[in-house]
Amino acid sequence: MLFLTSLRPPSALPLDPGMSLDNFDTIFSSPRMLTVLVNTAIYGAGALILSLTLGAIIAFLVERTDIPFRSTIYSAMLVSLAVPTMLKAFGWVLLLSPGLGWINYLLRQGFGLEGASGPLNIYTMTGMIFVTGIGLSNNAFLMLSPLFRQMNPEFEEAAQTSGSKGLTVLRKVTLPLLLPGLLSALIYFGMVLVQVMETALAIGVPGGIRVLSVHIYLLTKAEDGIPLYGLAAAFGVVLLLLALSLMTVYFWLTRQQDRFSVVTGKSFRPRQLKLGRWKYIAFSFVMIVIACYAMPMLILAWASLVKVYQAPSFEALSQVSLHSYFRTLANPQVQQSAANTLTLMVIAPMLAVFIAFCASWLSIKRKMRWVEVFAITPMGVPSVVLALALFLIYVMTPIHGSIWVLIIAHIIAHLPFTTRVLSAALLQLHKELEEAAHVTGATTARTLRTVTVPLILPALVNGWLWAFSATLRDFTFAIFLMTSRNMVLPSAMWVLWNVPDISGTAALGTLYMCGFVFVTIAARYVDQRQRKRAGWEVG
Amino acid sequence: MKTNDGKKCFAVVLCLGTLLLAAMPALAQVFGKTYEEILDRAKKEGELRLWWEVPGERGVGEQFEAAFKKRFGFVPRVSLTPVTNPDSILRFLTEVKVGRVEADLLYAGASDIAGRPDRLALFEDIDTPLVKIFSPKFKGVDGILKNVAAWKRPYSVDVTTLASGMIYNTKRTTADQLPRTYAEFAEGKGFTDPKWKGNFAINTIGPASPLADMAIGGHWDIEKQKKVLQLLLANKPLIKRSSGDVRMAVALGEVAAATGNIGGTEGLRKEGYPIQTKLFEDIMTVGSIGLTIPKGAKSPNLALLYLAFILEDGLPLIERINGEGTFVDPRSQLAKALKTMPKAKILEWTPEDIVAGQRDKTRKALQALMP
Repeated sequence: MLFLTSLRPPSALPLDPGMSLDNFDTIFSSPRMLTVLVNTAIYGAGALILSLTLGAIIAFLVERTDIPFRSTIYSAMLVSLAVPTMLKAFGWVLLLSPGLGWINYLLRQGFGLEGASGPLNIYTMTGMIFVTGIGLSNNAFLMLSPLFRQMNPEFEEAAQTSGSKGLTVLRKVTLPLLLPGLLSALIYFGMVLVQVMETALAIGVPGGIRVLSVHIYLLTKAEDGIPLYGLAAAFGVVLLLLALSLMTVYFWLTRQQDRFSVVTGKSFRPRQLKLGRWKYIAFSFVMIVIACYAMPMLILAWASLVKVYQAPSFEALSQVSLHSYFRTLANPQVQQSAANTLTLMVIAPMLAVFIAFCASWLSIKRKMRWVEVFAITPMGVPSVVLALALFLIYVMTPIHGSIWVLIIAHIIAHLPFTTRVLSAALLQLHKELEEAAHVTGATTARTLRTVTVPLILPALVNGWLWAFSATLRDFTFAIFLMTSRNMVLPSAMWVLWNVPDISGTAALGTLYMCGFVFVTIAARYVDQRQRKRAGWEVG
Repeated sequence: MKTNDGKKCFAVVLCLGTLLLAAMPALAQVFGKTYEEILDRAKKEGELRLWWEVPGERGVGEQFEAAFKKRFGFVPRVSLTPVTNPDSILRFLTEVKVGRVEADLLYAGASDIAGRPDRLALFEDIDTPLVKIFSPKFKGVDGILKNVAAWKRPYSVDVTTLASGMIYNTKRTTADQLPRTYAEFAEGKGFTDPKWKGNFAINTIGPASPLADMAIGGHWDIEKQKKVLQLLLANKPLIKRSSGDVRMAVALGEVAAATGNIGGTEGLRKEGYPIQTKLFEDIMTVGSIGLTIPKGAKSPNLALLYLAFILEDGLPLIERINGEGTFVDPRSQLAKALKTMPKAKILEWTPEDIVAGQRDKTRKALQALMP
């Protein structure tokens, strides 16, 4: 459907006849394509380095060291996942916009700076990289933390016993063992960064910085007139080819998968690295990162408490009320959407994780790598194109307009991430574990239930949490596939945002966060119980 | 044998012809013949599938419910799909292609329907019953219908106007300091004057509304449009992704003023934001989005009744709650404001221009200059 849509003449509707390569021509013949590609490369590389570095460092600290409040840090890392990117970007604008930003205001007051704007400016390439990198680092944390958790320290200990120093152990043992997981994350986030556009639209466009996804979006959209989805589909085809090329590289690099198995039949008790006095420095670093997550959400929470937005101050405290919350919760659309949202949230993430597990297991343990390729293919498809394709496929069936079409959309969209997380975790399990179970007469189903699943439970929990949060914050499917029968909370939030009802949107966003805190704590509880059972120390 | 076949064939044609003739009055009578008949049928139809986001905003839907009951004595079950234009028309046209009609009353840009016979054939003639049955009974309906452009009738009635103008933050500037005409921009005045540097906003999708629409009817040529855009960009505007975001930037005080679609500004002002609008004295570009009734609607009479209700009672209610007035409604503040500016020229794309690709060509040329 993606290919067919990309080949439609530019002004044609999706099901109209006719074939043309005009959409590809528009993409590649754009006079400023070089600038756009350079911007995209700088933005993508910067945000990728920042997000993976932060995600990996914090995952290591939480999973492999004795840093204090590990469980709290874990939950705090995940809370901001529930907030739609568009709202987070808006939060950063409220903090760091030259004319409006609260932090800028405080800096001007604190340092006696002249002028009504600055000194910091969010509308720059650095601002874009910072906001995107911070925003994706908790996703990277989710993807990488199970890898650190499952690492058998015997490999590192063996290296240390033979005289290797810390950095050498890291370079020659730890990092090579993490290679599949890191590559997974690198490829996944690389692709995500090429197609995400909320931050680039909210922060890059005002600063005059155009990246590829925004460029295509602006060529596709107009305030009136039918959107040119064929162009977006052509963009999706290009991304898909890129994703498949990157996956080929990944499979080639991880072709000898036994090299990466760190969980073998020999039992191991993961040992925590004692940080000593570095503990407090590491803790401070993590707190700074968490503060970066919290700040846009706190300013949004503040915006939800005042009827008319004004920067936080003691004088403004008199304006604080819960009026926006009562108003939002009394909104019939919000109420109507809540039940559908509950159904969606219960079914979609669970099925996405289940299918991802099957795909990963078939790929890693049964050498059916094509299954994994199939599961991660949607990674290259922009969500608006995926939504259009699903609409065109299901419009001819009875499930069109029902909640099931949204469930299917979310399963497909979340398969790439969950499959990447689970494949990386399964790569760490040595085949002898399942072989031992089979030798004792266990069936494949029993082996999976009693051996494989318990060992990769952290990855399953993380994959589920991510799919849950992504489902909660998605706007594209909720709006594109929306009917009166399948309205969900993101659609209701979109309506509020478009009014624009600033305090109402902020109130709903804050309620999202609170709801997600409970879900994260519950998931963490399940995870910890499993870790205790397995003999891990729990922070 | 040949004679028998001929007779059979004749009999089949006769039967089909008779059936077609019998069906024609029924086909023609999608709507009741009288007000009472429409009301009666509407009550029986029961449920209205409405594709429009406005009833979901700021409690408009609840107010609609109360006003509808007061006017017609019953409350219809409204299944609301708050889909926005222009996605609504794309979805609708695609659904129709596979034989689905999921809407009884549809919010869609008339410019995306008119000028294309294949699309026009998908909608009911709503003008005839509105003019014959509702106009004599309801003054509001009558007033609006007189202002709807001929090319939109008989399929669509405007309920939203995307009108261009200026938006400003009353804490950061005053109406007197704002430009008076859009023509000034071409002379390095208005928002192209360095005194506005970095202190105004435009939207990128428009782009820089009303600039992209200044080509309507040859009012400005493309070179002049490009020149003004370059002057605007040289003055470092804050470029926002949509006119909604532009409004928000002004309301929050990120910039002092902006050009763009002025709709929705009053709603923010009523909430307490220090925001006001000012129209250009020389020009106003408008885009209209209307309500239409698709052929094959399950509840056509309820849809027609609801449409008449929106024109009579709904639009003033929306203006009171959201502050959004409709250009074609003589009761609206927008229509009244235009009367105070007799020199202002109103520009709106015609279906011929749109089908010929003139609108898209202009926008593409300007979009290429945007950073």
